[in-house]
Amino acid sequence: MSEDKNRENYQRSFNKLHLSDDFRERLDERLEEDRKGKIMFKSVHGISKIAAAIAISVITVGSAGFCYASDLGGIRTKMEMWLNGSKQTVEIEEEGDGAYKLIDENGMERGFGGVVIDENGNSTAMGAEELAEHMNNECFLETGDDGRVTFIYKNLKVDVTDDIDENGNLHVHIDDPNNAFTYFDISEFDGQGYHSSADKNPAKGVTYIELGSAGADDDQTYEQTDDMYMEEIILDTED
Amino acid sequence: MVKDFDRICEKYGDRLYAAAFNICRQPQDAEDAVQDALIALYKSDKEFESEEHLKAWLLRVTVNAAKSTIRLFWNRNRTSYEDYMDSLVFEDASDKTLMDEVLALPEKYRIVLHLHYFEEYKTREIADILKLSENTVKTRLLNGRKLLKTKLEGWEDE
Repeated sequence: MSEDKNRENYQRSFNKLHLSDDFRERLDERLEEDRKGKIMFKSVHGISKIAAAIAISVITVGSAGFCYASDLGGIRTKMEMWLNGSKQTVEIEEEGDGAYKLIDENGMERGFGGVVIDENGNSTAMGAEELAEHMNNECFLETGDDGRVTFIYKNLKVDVTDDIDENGNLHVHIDDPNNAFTYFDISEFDGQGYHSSADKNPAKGVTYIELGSAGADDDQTYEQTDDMYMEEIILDTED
Repeated sequence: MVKDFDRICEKYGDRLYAAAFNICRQPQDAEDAVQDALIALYKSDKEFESEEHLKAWLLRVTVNAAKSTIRLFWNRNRTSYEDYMDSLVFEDASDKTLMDEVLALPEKYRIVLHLHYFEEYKTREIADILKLSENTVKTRLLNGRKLLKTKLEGWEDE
């Protein structure tokens, strides 16, 4: 009897929890992106600026990219990767359960991590090199203290503040011979968090902003200037 | 792709969310976990023996996804637990107190209690879903109940 009463109270309490009204819509959007074969990156809503530039949760694993890693023994790995617009030699330290600490050339520590979920629902922590490879091919948005938003991809850093629409959407294309997935669709950008996906091909009916070339093997960082040529391409919407 | 995907989303969405929220204690993370589970189902070719099998599978995937979410770095600075709880409407204040106290327990007790009281699973079934031994589930259930009893006036002896 007492167990029944406890159960009744518990169920009445937890029955107050419901998915948000737009959950199904967002689920359908993700399924659609998945059907199109895009590389998916999980939403990073509300995370700090420093984390926004580095944290990803990888659900679908891509293949393109590069990183050079050398095992230092133990759980610390040294590797070369793109970070905030320049190629750096960083150290990755495993913290367990898919979480890693990254120490950049300036000694700054940042956290990141990622998991892959298999068809049985088992989540497997990604290896540091696998994550670094993903991060080398992913774009990041960073909001500065002045509120300006910078798009960062490998050695390319472009101010995209005025290109983000009122719904937080941004569509850009990068010319990178080392990465097949160069059409980036960013949505739900709210100043810190966002959702992004990358595709081999442009989405129909979407206007992509050409941001130029990236991925050269030198350490030069290309900053956008006012007179930089930016081409907008409008894609054919016909089937 | 699994048949009846729309029906499954409708039928189990909130249940999965309750389980995920029990672990994450954060609405966006909990919804992300449910989304991951439903996408895993959508992409799976798995044959389910029964509706119960499907439900248990979904709960296991959701629990694993929720645990993965809270392990990761960016599980900081999101909508606060307090703000979210304030947005929920409870007819009786004791219902909110119960949820608060359950969610204040260590995670290992929370999810076992949830599967027992909310989903009405037996010890063996909880052990199957969480991949734990039955004895571990029994111990966690016992300790979780004891802790709740010390926190909640209305929680009865069992």
